[in-house]
This record gives sequence, C-alpha cells and structure tokens, in this order.
Amino acid sequence: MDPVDVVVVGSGFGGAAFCWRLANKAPKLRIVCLERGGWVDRKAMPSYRRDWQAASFGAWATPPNTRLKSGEKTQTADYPIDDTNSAFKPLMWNGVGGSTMTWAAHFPRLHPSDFKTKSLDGVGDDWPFDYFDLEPYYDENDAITGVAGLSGDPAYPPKPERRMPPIALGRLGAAAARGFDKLGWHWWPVDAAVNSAPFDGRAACNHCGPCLMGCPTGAKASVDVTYWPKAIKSGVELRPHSIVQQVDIEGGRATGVRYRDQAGNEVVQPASLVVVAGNGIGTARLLLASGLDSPALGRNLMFHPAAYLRANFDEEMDGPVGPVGCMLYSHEFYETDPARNFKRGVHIQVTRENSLLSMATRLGPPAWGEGAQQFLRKEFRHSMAVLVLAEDLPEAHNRVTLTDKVEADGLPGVKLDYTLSEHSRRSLDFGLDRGEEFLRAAGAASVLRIPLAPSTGWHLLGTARMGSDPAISVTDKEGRCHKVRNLMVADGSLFPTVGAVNPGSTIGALGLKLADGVARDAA
Amino acid sequence: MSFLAAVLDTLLPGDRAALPLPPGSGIGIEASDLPAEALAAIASEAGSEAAFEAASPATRTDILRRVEAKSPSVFQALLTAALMRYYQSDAVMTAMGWRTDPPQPKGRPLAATDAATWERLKKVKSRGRIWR
Ligand SMILES: Cc1cc2nc3c(=O)[nH]c(=O)nc-3n(C[C@H](O)[C@H](O)[C@H](O)COP(=O)(O)OP(=O)(O)OC[C@H]3O[C@@H](n4cnc5c(N)ncnc54)[C@H](O)[C@@H]3O)c2cc1C
Ligand code: SF4
Repeated sequence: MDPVDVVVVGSGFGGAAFCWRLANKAPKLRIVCLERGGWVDRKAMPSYRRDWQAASFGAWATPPNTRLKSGEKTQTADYPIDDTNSAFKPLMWNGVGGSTMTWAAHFPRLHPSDFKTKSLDGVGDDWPFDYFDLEPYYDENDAITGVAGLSGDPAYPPKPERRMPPIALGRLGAAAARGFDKLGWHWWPVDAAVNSAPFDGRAACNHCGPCLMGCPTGAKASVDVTYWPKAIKSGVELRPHSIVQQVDIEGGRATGVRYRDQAGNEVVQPASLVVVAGNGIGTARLLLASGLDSPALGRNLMFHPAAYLRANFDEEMDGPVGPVGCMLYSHEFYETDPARNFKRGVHIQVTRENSLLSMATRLGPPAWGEGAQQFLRKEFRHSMAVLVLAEDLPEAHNRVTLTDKVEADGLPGVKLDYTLSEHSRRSLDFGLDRGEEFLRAAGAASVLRIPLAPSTGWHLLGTARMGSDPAISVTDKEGRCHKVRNLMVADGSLFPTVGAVNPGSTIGALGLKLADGVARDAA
Repeated sequence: MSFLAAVLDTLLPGDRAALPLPPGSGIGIEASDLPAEALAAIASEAGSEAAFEAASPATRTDILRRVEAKSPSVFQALLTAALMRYYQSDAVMTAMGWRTDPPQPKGRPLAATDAATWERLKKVKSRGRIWR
C-alpha cells in the first residue's frame, strides 16, 4: 500500500470526529480510516420486521458476546471478550459508526467539576485540561450531531441554544416532573442526539422505540450518518472490513499498521501518524498486542456503575414508545456533598419502557408462572424505570489484559477484570435511595430495586488515559503516546476520570480537539 | 392435556382479564420450538411425561422449580424460548393492550409535553446555578 499521512483505526465516535475535523483543518493530509466491520443497511434493521423484539437477543443484542453466540451475521465484526471476572458486561458495536450504531443517544456533557476531581475532592485525577478548554469542541460536536434539548439548565454552564426542541416527554415525563417538583429537586429534559425535527437531511424521530437496535429513520445521530458522510466528502478514505492486527513500532516510532482485509489478506499500511480509536477495550487490546510499552496501558478500566429502580403506577403511561434513554434526568445529587459517605455524585435518569418481550424476560419477580404474568400486566404500560449511574474512580486493578489464545480475527484474546469498589457501592446505594424517594413522590404504587445492573457495560473508558506522568498515564494531553510520539489514541480510552454521565458527547469533542492539535503540528 | 401443553401452561397459565391472556399452549408453540434437553429434564424429574401430565398444577410448579434449581441454564433456555414465542404473538400483544405491527415504518404516537410540565420547569430554572 502507498504510505499515507494518517491512518486511523476505528470509525466510532472518536475516530469519526477526529477524521472529519482533521480533513477540514489539514486538507492536504491523506487520511485513511480502517474499520473492522461494515456499513449497516438501514432497510435491513429489525424494526421493520414482525419478529423485531427477538432481534435484541440475537444479531442485534447489545453485548458482542451474545451476538457471537447467536451465530447470526450482520455488519458488526465482533470478537469474544472474557468478562467472567467483571461486574459489568461490555457492550459495543464493531462496524462503521462504532457503538453509536446501537447507542441510546443520550447526550450529556461532563460537568466542569468532573475535570478536577483530584484538586476539588482529593479523589481520582485531574484532566490535563478543563471543561472550558473543551467547551468550543462540545459546541462544534453539538452542531454537527444535532441536539434536541433546552438551554437554561442550571446544572451546567450556559450552552448554545439547542438546535431542536426536546423530544416529547409524554405521560411518563409529566409524571416524573410531578415527582421532582414535589421534592423541589432539579430535573431537566435531556440533551438528545436525536432529531425532534428534520435536521441535516435526516428525518425527525417517529418515536418507534427500539433505538438500541439501530435507528431505521436516521433520526438518531449515529456517526455513520453525521460525521462520516461529511468526512468522506472532505477526502477521508474509509476502508470497512479491515481488521487491524498490529501497529508496527520500530525504534520508538510507529511506521504504520498491518490489517486483514475482507478477503483475509494481510495488508501493510505505512503511515506517518497512527491514531487508534477502537474503544476502551479494542484500543487496549490492539496496543497491548503491538507491544506498546506503557505501564498504565489497559489499566483503570471504568464503566459507570449502574443500578435500577422499576416502579409500577396505577395510571397509564406511554408504553414502549419514544427513544428509550432520552427523556429527563436529575442532577440534584451530582456534585460532591461532604455530608455523604462518598465523594462525587450520582446521575439519576428516568427512562422509557422497553419492549414487551424484554420486560417479560427480565429475571423476576418471579420469572414465570401466574405471578410473573400478573406482574407484567401491572408493569407494562404502567411503569417508570430510574437508572442510577455513579462515577467509578480509576483503579489500576480494573483492567483489560490479553489471553494466551489467538482469536478468529487474528488478534490475541482479551479479558476484563473489574470489581465494584466499596466507594461505588456506597454511591449506588445513595442513588437508589434518592431514586426510590423520587418514585414515591411521583406516585409509584410499588418500587423494585435492582442493586446492580451487570448488563450495562455501555461505557468503556480509561484504559489509555491522558496525563503528564508516563508511569500512570499512556498519552499526553494531545493524545500522543508518551513513548511513541507518532502513535495517538482518540477515543474513550483517554478519559482520566469519567464523571457520572454518558461519555459520547465528550468523546466526540475530544476527537475534534485532538485533530486540531495534529493540524497545528502539520501546518 | 399433552405433556407439552402441561409444561407451557405451567410456565404461562394466562389469565381471565377482560382481554384474556391465552395460556401458553394456546398460541401454537410446538415441541420443536423448545430445547429438547429441558423437556427431557422435566419428564425425568416427574418420573415420566405422563406423570407430569397427570400431576396437579401445584405439583407441576414444584417439579419445574426443582428443574430450575438443578439445571438453571437448561431451564433458562426453555423459559426464554417459550417467552420469545409467546410475547411476540399477536394474540398476546393484543391482550396486553398493545399493537401488533412492527415499530417501523409508521412509528408510534407519543404525547407532547403538557403545559403543566413546562410550568414546573420554570421553577427549576429559577434556582440558578447548581454546578461547580
Ligand atoms: C447499547 C449502547 C448504548 C449506549 N448509549 C449511550 C448513550 O445514550 N449516550 C452516550 O453518550 N453513550 C452511549 N453509549 C456509549 C457510546 O456509544 C460509546 O461511548 C462511544 O461510541 C465510544 O466511542 P469510541 O470512539 O471510544 O468507540 P466506538 O464507538 O466503540 O468505536 C470503536 C470502533 O473501533 C473499531 N475497531 C476496534 N478494534 C479495531 C481493529 N483492531 N481494527 C479495526 N477496527 C477496530 C470497532 O469496530 C468500532 O467501530 C452506548 C453504547 C452502547 C453499546
Ligand atoms: S425512537 Fe426515534 S431515534 Fe429511536 S430508533 Fe425510533 S426513530 Fe430512531
């Protein structure tokens, strides 16, 4: 292959934002993105089929391990992940668009305090820059993505006018607002990366429901429909079905990558700059397999520990309608309060109902028999779920490592070790107590606590963290590896700490910021 | 009642609501839709298929509970297969008060945010900054 200026591994949120920005800021650079999976054909998405509910247990399940087990093939090129020793099971999509293909598109920013946990609260680490350094990139990322929401939220510094009005809150939202109002707590409609009106050539959301099985209308801003068409138009070459096996490193410099193409041939792609954006597991796996010498690599894996409350109401709600994760949230307890037995805070989010089949297959209470059917009768179209997300702090023993096995994709196997800390447990318990208090105030007839929700490994963060000390960080604040300066990381692996909110908007903003650094150096 | 119907109706007895949920045996689930290993485990726990068929509903429930405790993954596979067929059937969706057409291309109606909710939000806004 002819040498290129920049090769990017992974077309998910970080990779897409990075490629688009760099192509626009440094148009002379030749940029190639290698993506292990393919493009999804929206017409083939399950939501058009009568058996759509079953797809979330097979080819469109959110855990890659479940998809692999199902044996059904789509455009995600998954690899097995040994998660037996992890409290949370990893979720991701390995095709063009990365995990945004199946994300819920809830689009919060981190708070300013999230960038300074060490100096403010004596825990975690400070980021090498702050909220206000990232703010212009958040704004730019919002503008490309298209955000439905409402400005004026007192939980955040002022944000630009949201491009579209918030997604309809429905009956569920009205009941939730009532509850928060009664307690005098903060609540606000979420920022959603979902079109509430036509935007950028994409349709408005028609509230079909199962966003986690891909959005057939394109209303949900996955990066295959936001950044990628623009990046390709700006000259980026995206090569799907290209599984990168190794970053070649010689004498402290990356010389390019080796990948397996769709036909199974090994291709060498020389490049002046290699950028890895394979997510918190894929990036660590590839860099460990490439022999990058960095003691923090693969360590400090963070997920955002999650717990749930499920409440039944006598009144009728909306049913499984509307973008499931995009409704409203409370940051009443997001910031540190010295009166609590933990530092930092919790994110409390009210979510919409899942499909009938998903609700029926939750394990209890009870799982089958008359009691199960009667419970479901009471729950379906009458329930409100509250998701509690906590901030897990970086801990070196929570990590991604390689196994001795070589997997079918040619790379070494990958294993997770993650235990829930006492600190996280205290945060979750506090969040569950507050969530229950809220649900009772909203009028819930019954409340069920799910103290830990293992199948919520949506956020894969921290395994190639930024920092200034090579002993405890993998890259500098520009995303460049301390030991191999022309090898960069541009995804969620970079987070030194994670706040307690979803990371997508920060990953996109970070991708843009890092690209500006490269463009500056190239000028 | 056949062995298969006895198993299905123990898992999914249905109800007598105004729009009744059909029993598990009432929506055309075949033995081939379910894992044979699980059906065999139930027959073996009961002594035979006929013994399970002849047992009272309470005894059948006990037998399934014992299989669930002894072979959780085998039992789970049976339950998931039965639930998948049952809760995707038109009869059940309708009895649950839901629609049978897929989510697309028509989408679903969702009530707009009401005036009282917007009014409540004004109070939140007036609190002023809560971030640090
Ligand atoms: C079900 C689900 C729901 C979610 N909901 C939300 C939400 O509501 N809000 C939010 O902010 N976040 C959400 N997330 C998380 C969000 O999608 C991710 O944090 C984000 O997409 C991560 O961006 P990334 O660039 O780090 O990695 P990804 O988007 O995962 O992209 C990594 C890409 O790299 C590719 N890759 C990996 N290894 C290789 C290799 N060796 N060769 C070639 N290509 C490779 C992968 O195929 C993949 O396409 C959700 C995630 C999931 C799975
Ligand atoms: S609910 Fe809206 S955003 Fe979600 S999949 Fe349906 S159309 Fe797309």
